Amino acid sequence: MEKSVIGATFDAPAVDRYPAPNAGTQRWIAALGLIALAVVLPFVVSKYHVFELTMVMIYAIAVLGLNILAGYNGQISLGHGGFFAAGAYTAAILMHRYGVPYWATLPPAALICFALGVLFGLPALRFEGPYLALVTLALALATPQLLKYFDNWTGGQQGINLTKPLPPHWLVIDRDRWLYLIVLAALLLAMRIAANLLHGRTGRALVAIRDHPIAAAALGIDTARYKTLAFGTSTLFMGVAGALAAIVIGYVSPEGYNLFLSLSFLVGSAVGGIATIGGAIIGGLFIEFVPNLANDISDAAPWAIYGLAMLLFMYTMPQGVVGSLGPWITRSMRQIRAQRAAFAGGDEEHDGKGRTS
Amino acid sequence: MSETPLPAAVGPQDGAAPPLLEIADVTMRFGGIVALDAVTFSVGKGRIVGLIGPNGAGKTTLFNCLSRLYQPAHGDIRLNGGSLRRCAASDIAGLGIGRTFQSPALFASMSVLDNVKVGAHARGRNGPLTDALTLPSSRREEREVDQAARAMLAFIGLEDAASRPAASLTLAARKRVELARALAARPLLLLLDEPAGGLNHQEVAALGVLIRSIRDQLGITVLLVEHHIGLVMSLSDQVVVLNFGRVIADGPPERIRRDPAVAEAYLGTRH
Ligand SMILES: Nc1ncnc2c1ncn2[C@@H]1O[C@H](COP(=O)(O)OP(=O)(O)O)[C@@H](O)[C@H]1O
Ligand SMILES: [Mg+2]
Repeated sequence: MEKSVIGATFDAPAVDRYPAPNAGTQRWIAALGLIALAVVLPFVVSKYHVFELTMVMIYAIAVLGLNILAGYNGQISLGHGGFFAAGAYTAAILMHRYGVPYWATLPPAALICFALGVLFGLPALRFEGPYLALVTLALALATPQLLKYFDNWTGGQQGINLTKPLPPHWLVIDRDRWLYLIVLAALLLAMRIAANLLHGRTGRALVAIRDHPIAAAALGIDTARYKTLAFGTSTLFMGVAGALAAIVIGYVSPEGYNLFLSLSFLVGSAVGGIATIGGAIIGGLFIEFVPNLANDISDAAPWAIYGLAMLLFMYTMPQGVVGSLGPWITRSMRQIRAQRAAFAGGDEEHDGKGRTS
Repeated sequence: MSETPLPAAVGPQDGAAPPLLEIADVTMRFGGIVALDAVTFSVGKGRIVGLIGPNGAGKTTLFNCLSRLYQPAHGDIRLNGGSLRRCAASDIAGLGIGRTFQSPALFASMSVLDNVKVGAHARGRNGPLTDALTLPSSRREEREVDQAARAMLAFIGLEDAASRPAASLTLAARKRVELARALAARPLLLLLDEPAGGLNHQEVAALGVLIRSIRDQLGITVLLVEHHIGLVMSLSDQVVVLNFGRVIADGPPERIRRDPAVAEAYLGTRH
């Protein structure tokens, strides 16, 4: 049997799930350092930058969700902005109408978007590659209109204004820095859960389906079930990101959830590394900063600059920043360790590969 | 290998036990082409059965029927007496049928080790929730899967390649990894579709030793599709010959060698 032609339309991106053996401790130290940096960061930059960085992390959660579906499972969606919107409106409606505290809107947003994703993912099983992209494109196009249509829930064109939540009174920080820390915690949790999921039996099944669906089925993987699961998991992340965006921005309106938002997620995903976890942060940075930077460079043709930036990234790092640099860093680290071991005399580190002389 | 509450492979046996696999009257059509025409034969537990026939005879099609990738128009396939008619393709591995593909179907972006770990999927219990939360039970299963996969790589002699990307291996090595991946499910029955295709002389000899040890050491029954007649004849307890979708001979290798119909349809025309 040959791999289905349609399924092979996209080149399989290398999957970031193989840390070098014994690199665990170093990884942990690096991760803790980065987390410490992220906690300190809002206290050394201006309030406006704090807001921007908070949005970076929200987009990172969204891109991470898309990576699970598009990168690891090979289902390209152009419509994930719709699920981001669903999360945002779930939070907004719960807060505005029912007085639910902001933090309590996250679980319902996650669950509702998981359910929506599964419902959308089931019929999407019939479509692959470019056809799935078109079906999801329809969702992206319909989202603003749907939001306007259900106006007694969504507030129609006006949207919904929310009051920004306050930090607990015993904490002497302002609300933007408080929200930054909440979103940071959500991002770390999302990355941890994604890593756990993708490094285990479930993650292997998702990638197996992407790489060779027929072989995957012959090995006992229920491809329909896992593809639907990938859809639901990915939209769950989208829902959480959308809810956080509504809370942080304090406002939702239909025009904020247009096709461009959906496309931005895919761009962020590709730029960061579509089948990586860490790449989501690069993707978040790109989504938040590159449009503004492009505007600063040329307010006549900002989108040309945006496109140019995209091309530049994809040309120099076709697997995305993390997808391309990650393996290179792992290789270099291994070489350094091997050299160090050799220098220390006696036995060299023996991992069977990756050593050059 | 590690202790898991899952059924282990049954050792080689003879005697009057019912056959492990029964293929009864299986017919498969593609439009006007009759790819399989009332194919009937059975495979006893613990045997190596060769399935030969010219290109286009229907060997791969039969494998795909066994894998439930194709739905035959007629007939039944039974494993240990239970019909597979109702099963989905993804149930087959769990029931104990493993296979390799004519052109290696590895997961190209994964490491060799992860490819073999996917082979253990059907025996696993971890679900998305236990994976996401990494419960102790899920850690335990992951450790067991890791050990079993490494043991399989050692069995096929590729333990040094564990962390290499599957796509970077030679054809012979890819075929071995695919074999290890199928074995990781600990099947009762292993379907091998032209495992010697594209291999050189030494590699074919090594493959013969490996297939024999799969049966002798792991107790797995083997159904072997192969054009390399020497290999089939030396390994098989029984040989089934297909021609134009029909079984034209079924018996021990010595008899198949002397069968005039086989010589005419296959052996005579090929060499
Ligand atoms: N998916 C398919 N669609 C149409 N015809 C097929 C398909 N698979 C196999 N066939 C046809 O069935 C016949 C048997 O093919 P196959 O089982 O691949 O032969 P073998 O493996 O013995 O060389 C051939 O005539 C082939 O063209
Ligand atoms: Mg064939």
